[in-house]
Amino acid sequence: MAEGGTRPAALRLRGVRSGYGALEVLKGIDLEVREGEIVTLIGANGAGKSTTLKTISGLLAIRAGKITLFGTPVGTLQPHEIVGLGLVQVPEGRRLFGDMTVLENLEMGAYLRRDADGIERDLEHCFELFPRLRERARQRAGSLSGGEQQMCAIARALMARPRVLLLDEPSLGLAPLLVQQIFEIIGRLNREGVTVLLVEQNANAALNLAHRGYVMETGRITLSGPADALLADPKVREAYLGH
Amino acid sequence: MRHLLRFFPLGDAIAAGRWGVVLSSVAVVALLLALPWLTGDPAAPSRWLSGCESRVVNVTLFVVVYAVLALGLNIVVGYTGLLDLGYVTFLATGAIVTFDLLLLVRTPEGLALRVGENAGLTGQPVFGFDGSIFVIMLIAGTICALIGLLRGIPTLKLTGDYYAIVTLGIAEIVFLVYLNESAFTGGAFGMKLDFAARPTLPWFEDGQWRWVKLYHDTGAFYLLALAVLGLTVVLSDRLDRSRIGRAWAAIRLDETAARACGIDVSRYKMIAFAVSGFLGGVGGALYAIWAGTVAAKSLDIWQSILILCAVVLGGMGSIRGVLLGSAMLFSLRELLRETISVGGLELRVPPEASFLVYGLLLIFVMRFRPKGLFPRGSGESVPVSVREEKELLAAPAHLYTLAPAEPTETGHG
Ligand SMILES: Nc1ncnc2c1ncn2[C@@H]1O[C@H](COP(=O)(O)OP(=O)(O)OP(=O)(O)O)[C@@H](O)[C@H]1O
Ligand SMILES: [Mg+2]
Repeated sequence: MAEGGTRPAALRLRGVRSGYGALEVLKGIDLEVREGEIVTLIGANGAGKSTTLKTISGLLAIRAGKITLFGTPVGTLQPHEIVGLGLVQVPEGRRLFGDMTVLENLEMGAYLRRDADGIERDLEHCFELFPRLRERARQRAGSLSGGEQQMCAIARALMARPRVLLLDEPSLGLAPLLVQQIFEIIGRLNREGVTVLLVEQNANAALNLAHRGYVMETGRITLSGPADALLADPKVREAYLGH
Repeated sequence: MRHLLRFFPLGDAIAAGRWGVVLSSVAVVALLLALPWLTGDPAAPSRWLSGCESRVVNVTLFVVVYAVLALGLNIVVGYTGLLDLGYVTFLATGAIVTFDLLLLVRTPEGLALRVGENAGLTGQPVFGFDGSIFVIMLIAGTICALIGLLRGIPTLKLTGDYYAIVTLGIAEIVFLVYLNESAFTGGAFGMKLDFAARPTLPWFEDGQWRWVKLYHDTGAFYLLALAVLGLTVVLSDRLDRSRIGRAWAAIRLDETAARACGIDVSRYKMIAFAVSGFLGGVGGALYAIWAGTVAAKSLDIWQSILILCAVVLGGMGSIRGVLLGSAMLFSLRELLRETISVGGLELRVPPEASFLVYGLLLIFVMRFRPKGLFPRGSGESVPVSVREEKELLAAPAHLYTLAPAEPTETGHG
């Protein structure tokens, strides 16, 4: 599983700090995702996982430290510039455009692209990954079920043709069968060449899927390593796997 | 062939065969063009021209001018989803710029505005031109677009109530400035366009083209106002269905999600502010001609509210809605100014009370049609599709229709 130790880094965080107003949430994060990897970031509620993703994607300003994407510093870039460089986030809580149809949502995902043929191919690919979305293509996104919304959110991010995909709790509120399906799709995307940083509450499933993992506690990385090592770690087992 | 149709506002409806929409739109345009003829004096040398002096055409013009303003406000409120409570700034600026261009004269003592006690001043018009209305509208529009951009700087990061309150505050500041800078606005006196200072328009008269002076009751002004409204409708429609319009829609629905899709939110908001300001300036210039006289005092917060009411009443983000809302509200506004005499009794609604009537109208409409009279997207799918041209060209092969849930169409991809 823990392959690719020598691959170049797709995403690298060094001493990253950020927060909201007077509240500093991230207190110096070091993290690395290599090209072709699935890396998972787990931790308790409020540890700062979503904050980490928001800081990477530029939605939240970085206060100190450095973030590089394929070697390019991106810490000071605007979110849309970062999307343009190939890093796309599926935000926490899906955040679909409720009044647009599924199809329109997917097309918004491709907003920065001009290659009509490529967009059409990727649309077909999304519908292949999530056949439910094809059925619902002309339905208002706001009226989808929770699971369908999650599929739509992932598909919308894929329409931007990401090289690095950030996922924030894709399993939230989904039935176990659907969680398994979503995780299979994440694995498939990864085999197709997408680098993934996955934030999850469902640590067991995440660590089973990922190559490597990081454990986060109150704004700091406290543990990291190959996913199977973390799965076997007694501390992780007790705190996050519930046995 | 068919994708050419989309270039025009009714193209969609024609392509989709929604003839009701097409016919009613054509009928409205025809009615507007024929209105002066219908209300004109059959005995006059030109029945159409004589009709332009009728009260009905006068009220229609008022509606048309305010419809341009309402469509301008709709760019920010309806498309981008920001509640702008300070739109009067653009109306006032457009009107004042128009007056200044025509009334500022060079005297030995310097610049002076030909109003009030200075009304008798003669001298070279500062801007040295006879007041082509096209130049005036362009200058008024451009200045207002710049003001829109300037106003955007402090408000760019604001949403919801905060945006509304800050735009309201800025408009109040501008209002006070205009009230006090009487050198450019006439202050409490206001300004008046006299015969010597009238914008001009090329017009076919007595068998030749010549520049004629525009008055509120001339055929030239009526056609000009209709043309400006027509262009505003086309512009709004094109923008709404362009890449820019898709970005606006995304920002309106969820700013964070728009950012996650790679949309440069600041840039597209700024575009909205500039376009909205430009239309406000053009509307202000038309208003100046319609009114003939303007006092800074009368261009207050209530103007913002009234224009906003027209947008909300008709349906935010819906062109047809905004047009209908403007027609209802602004013709009502003019009707309420009428005095009715019943058996020697002069009946009239006091101006302050007229807002009571608008308020009741708004409550009534919102009670039964909360999204406005003609909500956005009613009866028409607002296409935001990047493939729309392609799809139309290859009309039979609808790839993503709601077919029964079978794994179909393996021929593609
Ligand atoms: N917009 C915000 N404004 C102020 N504080 C915030 C904001 N968002 C998050 N926080 C705070 O930052 C801390 C970290 O939040 P974050 O959302 O990153 O946690 P998380 O690890 O994603 O938790 P969860 O698993 O519950 O999603 C929390 O204490 C939270 O209260
Ligand atoms: Mg979170």
